[in-house]
Amino acid sequence: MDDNELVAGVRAAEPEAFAELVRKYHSWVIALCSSVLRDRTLAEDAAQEVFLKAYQSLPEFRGASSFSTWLYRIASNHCLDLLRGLARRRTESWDALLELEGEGIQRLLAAPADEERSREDADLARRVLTCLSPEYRLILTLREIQGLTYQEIAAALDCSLDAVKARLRRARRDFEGRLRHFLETQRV
Amino acid sequence: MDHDNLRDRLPALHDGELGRKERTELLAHLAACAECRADQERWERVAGAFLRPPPPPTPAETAAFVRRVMARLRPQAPPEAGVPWPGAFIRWMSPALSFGLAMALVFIMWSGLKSAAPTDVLLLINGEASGLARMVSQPWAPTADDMLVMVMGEG
Repeated sequence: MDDNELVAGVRAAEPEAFAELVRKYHSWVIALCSSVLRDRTLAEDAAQEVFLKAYQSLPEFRGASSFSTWLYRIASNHCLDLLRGLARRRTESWDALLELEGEGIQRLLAAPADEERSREDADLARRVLTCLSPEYRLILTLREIQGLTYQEIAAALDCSLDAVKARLRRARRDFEGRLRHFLETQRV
Repeated sequence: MDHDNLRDRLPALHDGELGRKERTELLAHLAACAECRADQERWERVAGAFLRPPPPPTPAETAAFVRRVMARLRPQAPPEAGVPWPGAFIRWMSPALSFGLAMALVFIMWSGLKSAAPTDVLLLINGEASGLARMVSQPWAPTADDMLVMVMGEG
């Protein structure tokens, strides 16, 4: 069954139709939540909330976009709301992280991209990402980890194609700027 | 295209958003330009280090997740496919109608308290500050009998 048939099934009060949608999009939603939130428990809870919101908002889904795009938007907004809340509570500053973990960051940048990573290194990568602004973290996740096209990101974030390009450019510049010291050291 | 323009397109090359012609042109430039190549490699190193996808869930994890979501849905009513006409109209109009009715009742009560004397009786009264005029201007409301007595008396 395609998504439209499943949505019609949910509207006709068939629980199995919604279970099928959850099954189909679970890996995508959990990957987005894990990548953005970088916390397994938070990501699991967030993914559940995304599907519950989707269920409750289904009467508003008119089919103007595909179900997946509509779900991306719900998931992106939910993650962004959570990230903003987490950013307010964040205590670790970028400078403190650099001072404590400079060697680890250097090691991560030097390692091959496909190399198996220890739990400590994975945790450090998460801490580095948590220093980015919520908006930058979300758009980098959508593009680099989820592999969405500019068009799909624009639909998920409800903005123009130019806004996606500009935001991505700024996010990359900001991230590279933070790591400038390490990147220049490695180039020498 | 000049160096700066080509350099601005490096992110689009990395993201796979260039057409075949632009891509070929940019790849040729990259082969010859060490500065652009360094830019490109720098970002790829950052993305490779910090923007890796998490491991996908196992089928058992997905099954458990679906069970948890469905368990949370059970207490909820199934989503409605919108409220049909005239339901939506009535739902929207109810507060307005209630308010209008309440205002009408308040107006009727207020005008009843202000004066119990019918307008045509008042118009019959000629002359200034007649007994009847004084009576109806009192805070208490005169009865029809009071007014009749006054009219007869003045006539």
